[in-house]
Amino acid sequence: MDYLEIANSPVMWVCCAPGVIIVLFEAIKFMRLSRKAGKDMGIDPEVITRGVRAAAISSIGPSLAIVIGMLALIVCIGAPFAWFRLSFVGSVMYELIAANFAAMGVGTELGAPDFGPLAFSAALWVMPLGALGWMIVGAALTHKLEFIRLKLAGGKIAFLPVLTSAAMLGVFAKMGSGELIAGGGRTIAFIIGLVCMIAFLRLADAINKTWIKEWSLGFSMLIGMFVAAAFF
Amino acid sequence: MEVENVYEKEFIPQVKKWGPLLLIIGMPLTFIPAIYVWWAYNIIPSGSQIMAGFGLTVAVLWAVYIVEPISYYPILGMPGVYMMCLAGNISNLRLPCAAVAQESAGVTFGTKEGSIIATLAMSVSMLVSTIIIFLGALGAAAVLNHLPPFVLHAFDYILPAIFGAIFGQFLIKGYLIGIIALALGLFFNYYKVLPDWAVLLVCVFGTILISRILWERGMLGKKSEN
Repeated sequence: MDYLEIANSPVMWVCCAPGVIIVLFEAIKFMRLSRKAGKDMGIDPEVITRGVRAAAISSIGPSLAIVIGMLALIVCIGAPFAWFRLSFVGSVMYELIAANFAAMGVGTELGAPDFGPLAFSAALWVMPLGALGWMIVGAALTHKLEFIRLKLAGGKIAFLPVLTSAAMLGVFAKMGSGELIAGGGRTIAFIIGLVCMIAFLRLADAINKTWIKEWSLGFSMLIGMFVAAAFF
Repeated sequence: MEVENVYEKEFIPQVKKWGPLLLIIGMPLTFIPAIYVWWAYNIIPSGSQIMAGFGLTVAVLWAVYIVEPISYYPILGMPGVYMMCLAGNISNLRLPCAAVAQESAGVTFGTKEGSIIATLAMSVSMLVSTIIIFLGALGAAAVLNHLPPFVLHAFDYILPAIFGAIFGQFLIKGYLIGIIALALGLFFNYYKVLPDWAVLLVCVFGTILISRILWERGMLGKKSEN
């Protein structure tokens, strides 16, 4: 029996469902908590609606990108486990690395012709094992991290928004500088995405249309990727 | 009730309860597929084979486990970090999503209102991405076979375009800090004197510290407002 028949069997979908259900449960739980807190804090319902709409729109493109990355996993570990892994801890990059290491542990490689039942089973063990690190650190440390934020702000509440923007710029400068150094289409996509986003946000403020902000990431992403693809 | 009280006395305690609880419940659940294949088909690698793969993974990632929650905490706050540790996909999906949601809602980053909207946005993105990835797992190959090659090629550039867009969104909030952050990133990504996880730390905390110095000297034009 081909191991992919096991990997794509209905029972496998059932086995992968509990992990995904935890993610969905947390999403709904935290959504309720933040909605209620928002209401009690007197945040305008219209503001909340705009945030939710923008989040939903902005999730579509990046999720499709995950689906593309998932294809490499599906052919090796089957659709249900790929779905579970990409909805759960980690990211496409992490899952590909861990799946490949799992395969190396049994003497093959991800996507190699001899990636068989044993390598599949190794992936089932190693991918969740490797992701435990985030879960353990998350469960043990997260509630202790607030002090870092307060320490960095030196007790100055007014600095917290600047701090958050600076941290965000730091993260995306790290990601972005990699794209700039990569050259070719990746550099072009980064620059076009950047320029489009600034243009859309400026335009939204100039003509006072918030819906443009809600679509800004989606549009900037599409223009960036297609312009880059047209030239490279 | 006051904003401060609702957030600190009602919202955060609930987050502190559910965040770790769901992570702990989630841990054993992730092994159900592995145990099923072992039990039903008797397929399982030897302990040393699993440890070989696990060892390689941990050797590459051990620092990332710690660096990511610490680096993303100043942006996401407590609820966001619990969610990222359970649902992953942080820089490619959750952060951009939370950023655009806060921009659209018109709330300030790093405030309590900002944190509420970011939590909401991350919840929404978890629902949307789980559904899209599910549909993708069911039929991705079939649909992709019908897309023109040009479109498939464009998908290679999704991530750089997203990174550029979000960098741009924050660049207009502070060009000076943005350029400093990018200079740090370019230097460490180009010369590779540090491992990748350390570059994330340097970029995030280096940028925060430099912006604090500039802010205290009133060079960011924000201090007087507050």
